[in-house]
Amino acid sequence: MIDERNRRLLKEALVEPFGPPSPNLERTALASLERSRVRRAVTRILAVAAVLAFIGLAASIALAAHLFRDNSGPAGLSSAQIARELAQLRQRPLDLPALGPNGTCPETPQPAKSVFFRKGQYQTIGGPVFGNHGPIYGWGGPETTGAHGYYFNVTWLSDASYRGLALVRGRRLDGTQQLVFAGPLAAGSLVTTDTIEGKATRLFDELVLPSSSPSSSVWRQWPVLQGVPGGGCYGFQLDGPSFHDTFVVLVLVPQGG
Amino acid sequence: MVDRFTLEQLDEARSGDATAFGALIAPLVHPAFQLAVGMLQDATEAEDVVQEACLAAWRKLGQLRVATSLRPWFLAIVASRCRRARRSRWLSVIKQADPVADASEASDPSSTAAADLRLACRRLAHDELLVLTLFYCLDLPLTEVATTLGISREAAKSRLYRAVRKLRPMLEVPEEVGG
Repeated sequence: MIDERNRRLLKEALVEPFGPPSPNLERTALASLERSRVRRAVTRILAVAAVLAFIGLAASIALAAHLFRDNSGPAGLSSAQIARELAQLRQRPLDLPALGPNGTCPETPQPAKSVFFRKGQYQTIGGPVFGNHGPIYGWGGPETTGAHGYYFNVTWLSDASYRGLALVRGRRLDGTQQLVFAGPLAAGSLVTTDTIEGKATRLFDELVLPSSSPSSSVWRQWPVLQGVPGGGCYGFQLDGPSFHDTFVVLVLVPQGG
Repeated sequence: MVDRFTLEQLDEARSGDATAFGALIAPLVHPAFQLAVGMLQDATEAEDVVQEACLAAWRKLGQLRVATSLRPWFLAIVASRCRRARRSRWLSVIKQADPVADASEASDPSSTAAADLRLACRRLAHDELLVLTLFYCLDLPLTEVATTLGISREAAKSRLYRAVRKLRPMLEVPEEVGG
């Protein structure tokens, strides 16, 4: 009885003054489901499109970063810019180590670089290379004897992250002679001419490794003929717009050389 | 007991069939409105809440485990929306500013009693008004009230008793609420 009275009073107070819901409430509520379903489908499509767009954007950024990765600034410089950069590198004095006590050659430990290139597959270089901190390293090749000196088919290697040019110079630490270079990458002053493998070859005091367009992730390599007048302790200096490196090599030649 | 037809509709609704969901929810729209209007004392607001609750139920349908609990499950969603609406300061300001309705009720003693009771109900906590509305206005059995509130039958009974006591002397406190 009490429950019934309470029920009547509460209904009179809370529900009945407002009457029934509008006749189209049910229809409106259910129609909103359909709208919601369409909205959800559109949202899902937009979400998928957004994810794809994001992936595309990320891939583009990664590709751009990959292509333009360059420690030395933009590659593909004009001739005037290259000349200007090269002139600035030439102004750097040779900063080579001195001989040690008792005239010992301060040889630089050869870094162990075993993998340098990737062109479809890795190419492994067995054994250490010449260099110090990088990003440029030398890889010794076969020796050739000339009329006035000893020459080596050296392959200069550049870390894939470095795209700028590099200037290679050097001199004998236990003497006054210079390192000499031959071939299209040789530059600077003409030091001498020698007959190598029966061919007159002009030898210069600089080697210029050119910059390259940022289009590849493989290490760059330049086969170069370079020489020394005789056995001894030689210092190499490598300069680029963003780096400076030196290393010392003790060159041994056949007895009497 | 849940008939096979309802179970099939539930399966279809869960798989994204809005028509099947509509067929399940349609009988619950009217009780949902009664609950909302009892809680909010505003028909327009109550209709908005019911629509929102339908959408919320459609989205949460995967969380519904047993078909037998469809009504309390849906009413719990409505109650949750009502709680949110009642918390709104904007809504409470609107509710306070209703002098015309109160003045018209003043001439009729029964209307005055109803207005007093309505005012007293507004001062109740959400859970207290909810248990009163579910039990007295929607005529739900105490077991289903408890399921809607997510509490035990004994706890629902106790809550109902406390709510009724707060509305004395307008309501009488029964010896055995909801027996």
